[in-house]
Amino acid sequence: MTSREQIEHAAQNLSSRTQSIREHSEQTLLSFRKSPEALYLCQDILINSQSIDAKFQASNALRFAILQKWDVMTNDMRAEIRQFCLKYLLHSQTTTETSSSSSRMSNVISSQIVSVLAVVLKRQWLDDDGKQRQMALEECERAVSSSATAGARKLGLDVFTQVVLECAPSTSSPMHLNWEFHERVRDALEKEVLVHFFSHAGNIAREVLMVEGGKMVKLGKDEECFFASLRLLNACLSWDFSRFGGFGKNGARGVENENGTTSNDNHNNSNSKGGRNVLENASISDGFIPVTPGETWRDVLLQSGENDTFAWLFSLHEAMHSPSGVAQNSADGSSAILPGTKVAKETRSLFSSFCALSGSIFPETDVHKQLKSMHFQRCAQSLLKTRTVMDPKDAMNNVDEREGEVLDCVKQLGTLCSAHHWTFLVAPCAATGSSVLEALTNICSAAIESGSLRAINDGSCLDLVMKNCFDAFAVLSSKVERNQAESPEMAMKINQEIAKICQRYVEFGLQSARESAYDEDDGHEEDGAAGIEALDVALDVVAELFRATVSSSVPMLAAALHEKINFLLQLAALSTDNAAHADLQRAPELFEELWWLLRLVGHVVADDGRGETPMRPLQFDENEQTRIALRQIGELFIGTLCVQMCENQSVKQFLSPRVVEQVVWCAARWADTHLFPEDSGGRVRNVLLNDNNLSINGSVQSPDPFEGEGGAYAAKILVGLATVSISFYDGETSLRKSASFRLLPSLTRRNAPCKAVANDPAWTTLLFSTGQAHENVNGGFPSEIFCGLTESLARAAIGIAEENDQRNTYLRYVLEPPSKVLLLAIENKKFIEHPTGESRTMGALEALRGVARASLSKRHEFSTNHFFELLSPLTRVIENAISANSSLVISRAMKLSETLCEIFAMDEENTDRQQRIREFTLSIVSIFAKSEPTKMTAATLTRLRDEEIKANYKCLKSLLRALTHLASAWNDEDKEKLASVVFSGLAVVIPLLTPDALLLPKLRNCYFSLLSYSMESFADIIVKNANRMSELVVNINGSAAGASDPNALFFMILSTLEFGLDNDDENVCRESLVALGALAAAELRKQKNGGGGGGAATDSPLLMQTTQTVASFIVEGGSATADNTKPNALMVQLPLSPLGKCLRIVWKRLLFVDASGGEKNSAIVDEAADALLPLLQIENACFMSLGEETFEAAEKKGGRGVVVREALGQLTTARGLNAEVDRMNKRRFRRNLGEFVERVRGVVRSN
Amino acid sequence: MAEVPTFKLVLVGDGGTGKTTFVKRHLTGEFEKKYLPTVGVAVHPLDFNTNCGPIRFDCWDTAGQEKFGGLRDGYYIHGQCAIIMFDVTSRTTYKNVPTWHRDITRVCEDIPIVLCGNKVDVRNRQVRAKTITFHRKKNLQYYELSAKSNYNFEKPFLYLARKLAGNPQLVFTESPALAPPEVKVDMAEVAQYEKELADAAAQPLPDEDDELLDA
Repeated sequence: MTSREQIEHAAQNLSSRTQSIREHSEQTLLSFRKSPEALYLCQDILINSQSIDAKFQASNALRFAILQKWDVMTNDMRAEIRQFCLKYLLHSQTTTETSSSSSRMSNVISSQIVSVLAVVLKRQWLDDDGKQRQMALEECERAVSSSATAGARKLGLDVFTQVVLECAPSTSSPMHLNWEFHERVRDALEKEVLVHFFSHAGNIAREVLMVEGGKMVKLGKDEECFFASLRLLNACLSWDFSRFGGFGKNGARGVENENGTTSNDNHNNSNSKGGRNVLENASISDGFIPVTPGETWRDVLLQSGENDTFAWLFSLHEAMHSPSGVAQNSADGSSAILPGTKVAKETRSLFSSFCALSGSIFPETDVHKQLKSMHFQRCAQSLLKTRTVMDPKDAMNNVDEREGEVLDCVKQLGTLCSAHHWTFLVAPCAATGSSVLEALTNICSAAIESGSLRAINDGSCLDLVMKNCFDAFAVLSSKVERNQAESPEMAMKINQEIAKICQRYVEFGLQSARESAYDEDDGHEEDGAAGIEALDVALDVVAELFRATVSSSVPMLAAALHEKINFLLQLAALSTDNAAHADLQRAPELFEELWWLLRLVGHVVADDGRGETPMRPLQFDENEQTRIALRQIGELFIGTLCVQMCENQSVKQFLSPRVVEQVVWCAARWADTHLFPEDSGGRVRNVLLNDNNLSINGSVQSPDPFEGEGGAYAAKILVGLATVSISFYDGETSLRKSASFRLLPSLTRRNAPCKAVANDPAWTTLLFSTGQAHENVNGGFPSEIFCGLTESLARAAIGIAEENDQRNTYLRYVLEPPSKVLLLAIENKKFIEHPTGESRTMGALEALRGVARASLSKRHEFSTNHFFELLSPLTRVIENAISANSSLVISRAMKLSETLCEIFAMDEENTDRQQRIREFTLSIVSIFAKSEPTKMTAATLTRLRDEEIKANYKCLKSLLRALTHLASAWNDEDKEKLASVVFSGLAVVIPLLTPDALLLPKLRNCYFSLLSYSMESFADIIVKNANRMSELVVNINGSAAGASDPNALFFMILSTLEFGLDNDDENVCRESLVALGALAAAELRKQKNGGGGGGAATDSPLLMQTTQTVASFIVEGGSATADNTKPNALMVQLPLSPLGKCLRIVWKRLLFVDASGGEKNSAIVDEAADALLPLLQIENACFMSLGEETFEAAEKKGGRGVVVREALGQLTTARGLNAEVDRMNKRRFRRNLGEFVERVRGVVRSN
Repeated sequence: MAEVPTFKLVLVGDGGTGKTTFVKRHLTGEFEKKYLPTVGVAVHPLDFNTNCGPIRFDCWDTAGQEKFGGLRDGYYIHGQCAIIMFDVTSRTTYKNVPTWHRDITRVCEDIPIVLCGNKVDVRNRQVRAKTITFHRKKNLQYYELSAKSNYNFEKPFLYLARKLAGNPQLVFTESPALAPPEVKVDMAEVAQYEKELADAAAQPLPDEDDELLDA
């Protein structure tokens, strides 16, 4: 038995720096929580211990113990616990008030006990139809009011706050109850209690607060009580009111819609317009969190005059944040509330919620809107009087000290933009004469001028202010774009303000770029791809603003680009003519400016498509002026900059590779969006707008310069740019990668550009240069560059005419040079041993892989035949590489093999090829096995950075993928032959995998993907006779699995399957379930066809007959556990087959593992249902036994076995379920299992 | 010698979000590829040098998975700052951020907290930047991280150090000292490596990162 002293000692030692002491303390505290005397001992420690740490641990353990023992506690015991908590809290309030030595820690313990009380209240919420809850809440009220002190009042408010947080889905504690319970509690609280809590807190706040003349704010000793009331008010308004009226169901989340009205929340679902609004408003509501409490809250939140119960909030906000209020408060001394205090923060939070009010709290019939307008005015007036708005420069100068205040102000302005009609934001506010729009512009300009764009301020408060302002402007421009006809003047005003911001952005962005020229690092690139990604996300928003004001901002960008390009040309000329010229010292600044400007231009004028086909931004087709601006910028970028980079030797030499890489990026984006747009949907638009040279407005429109001849010209220049980037800048791998993996694919992704580039001499130059690079005795390019190059070269083949063998000739030029290098590697065994030969072989392998990757999407018979002929040489290359001990060549050759397997496996109808690829894969498996690959043990894995180990790991992955490609494509005729190859591969691979190796996510996913495909494809063979698996394995080197034990492979696979079913990774578990489902379905088919079964089949004894020892999940004391290692888990001897054992694992996982809140495991329920449907029929005895165990577990937890019994019945009968394993029945069973898991989890899981 | 100012940092978040990898990155400089769930808690001292002198975070790396949770919020006591981590490739981990935040603030009132979205290097991002709004609501600092590519690695620590020191001008003066990996040096091997290095020096660089080609 644990004593109080032991707990005190353990709690104290938990902070020890010595690990062993800390771990011992941890164990003591953990066993204390679970001990039978925990409830009593916790209370004893809380009352009598002098150790704060012990009290803290006791308060935690109390919550744990209550939930653990809840089912065996009587109502009286539960009431006693409530009483204890209340008395403890009231007592600690009294001592805190009277004792000056009360510390912060005792507040922490009180807050823990408050949370315990809230958990108890929630746990009892639905008992006796809510009578217990009512009783508990009244008990709480009585205790608080009988104490009648400010501290007691605060306590009452804290308890209600915690109850609200406990009942909110996003902040509820795990109670291991089903989701339905949480939902019912949430629903009951929202409908019956929440608004009363809110009003109660509002009344207390109003009583406590003293506002003198709307300026002076004093709280004195009531400050804590006032703070607690603000917390409760905030908790109530943070409630997710849109739960039943959110996206996809009933319309937008209360966001301003097309007509300026707001739609939807949980109380006016019937009025919503449905899905269209969701899509339309989704883009403008990004980042905005509306507060949609519904019309029942209207009387509480939106009253005016004498009935206004929240006028104090606006007065307080103003008094705390207006320049005069802050000055007076500062002068007042200790009892005043300044903007940095915690009360001020909570006040701002509440004010923000008021700004975000949306939805049916504003009546639909109030067609715009007196009530909404009044509410807007009220919020805006208070906001526009804050010192941040009144003097934004001062705010930005002191932003470090005023961070919270400034950020809140900007967010509140943004919230008003999202929540209200756009015309409200332009109109000047009566009290201040300024508008929300002007406030936003002034703050944003001040942030930019104060250095928000400087690299050093990335992520700082200034940066956040600017980005929040941009978000707000983006919302506004989006609203204006759709509804400008409502008020063209106001729309123009908004666009003017946005244009001002764009101008500021370019001006100060260039300045910051210049300043960063002498920084030590390269800004965003220093952080790698993630840094660039972050910059791109930020620029996406900026680009929206530039596009909104395209007629003014794009000419501005063009002018800036023109200036920088001219200066570049000047400096480049000087660098050859007069290298000592002073202006050349400005080159680093120019490079930074160009880098920054090109990134911005790329975002504004071109689209990244977000994974879909990029489209030309519509704003550029608005009028002739915008089209001219776009063309001007295109001509500057492609016609001048790119041309000069291709043709002007001094420019090539002068430019830094970093800037060239940026040009390449920008060019690729440009090509994706603008080059030959007819393939990307542009044709339809062109038919509508261009074919008759008429725009929608009827004005004459000039043709697009990037189609037809213009397009071919641009494509030619971009090919030249790629060639220069790859060939001119030796050693610049990053730049070469950009050109080969970004720009060239952009030029060859669609058919029209392919036609343009493939027939151009520049492309032929690139083709021959690539071929010659293979002959370069120094290895040409880094190998991965070859891969990118040849992939694009092969893709472009579609643009070459098929007549007269032209296309094949072209492909021969792509394929022959690397193939010749491979022949050299075969003919001369020493070739790979020499570094040059090794490098050339790597390049050749990667080049061929590039062509193979291109063949995956667009197959050419010539390439396929070539690869078919290449299979034998490839195996010999691998053999030579092994004897030369070149891990780099081996891993690349294996990668190529994997890609070839993928190509040929898809070629299902060609039996010759199918047979050849099987032989090839088998030979690869054999070579790999003979190379004595390293077993991936824990010790090996610590040396993953060693080149050899790394290559071994990569080979293993490639082999697994190659086998997966084979297993996923089979026909009935060759099934056994294919199975032979896959089983042989598994026999080689599995012994190399250890549980440690399966901790590597990529390797693990590869293996389980293979397992899943193999079982799906070959389950029939396995269930027919599991021994057959080992028989099919080709004995490669005498050590393959099955050589000594014919069942070894089968058991190895099954053990990994069990590992997968129990794995934390949901993907792995899902793949394993698919494999299990396939095995079970095949076994069931066999049994139904008269193949025996029922646990005693003689022809598949391995699957169906084994006795194994397993841990029962029913443990002593009536509670169940998800923990395998729990010492008191009962070990039971059950006549289980391997399938039965898998059934138990799945069952246990579904009901007990990682399912707090009952939701998380839903991710595997569908796959589990597909596996269990046949499994329950085959392993009926095991299923019955599991049902009994589950029933007993529930019985021991408060006699709730009946729920399990009923749920089991529903599981197997509901929705007309029958014994067929077909599509319809699977769907039924998925739903049945989902409901079963949800119900039964709540009954049997350990609390 | 004056004692280094030490602060207890509580690191929380769902299982598999990369908390341990993040900490190990600081300790060894290595990126941990394996996933081995933390059981209970692991405490690591993380040292940084600043223009105001050295600073140490005693980082309490807590278990994210419920079944390995140990004392859960029992570890948070005396916490002086916190990092809540989620995984931008898993929506569930972001959905659970409010619960972690509530648990932290219940025990450690008014401490600086940083919200971190890890794994931004992964292509299959599920939580888009614009949908991350929790920090706005709670006025937390937010950083996107990549423990794999070291992106923004120091930012959360720098923010916390500034807040704890009450000095917005505090900067890290040098990169954190990374403990050398535990390797046994064989002098014969070293000589061999040197020879191979000399041979390889004239050759083009081999493919160090083939992620691009793995697509």
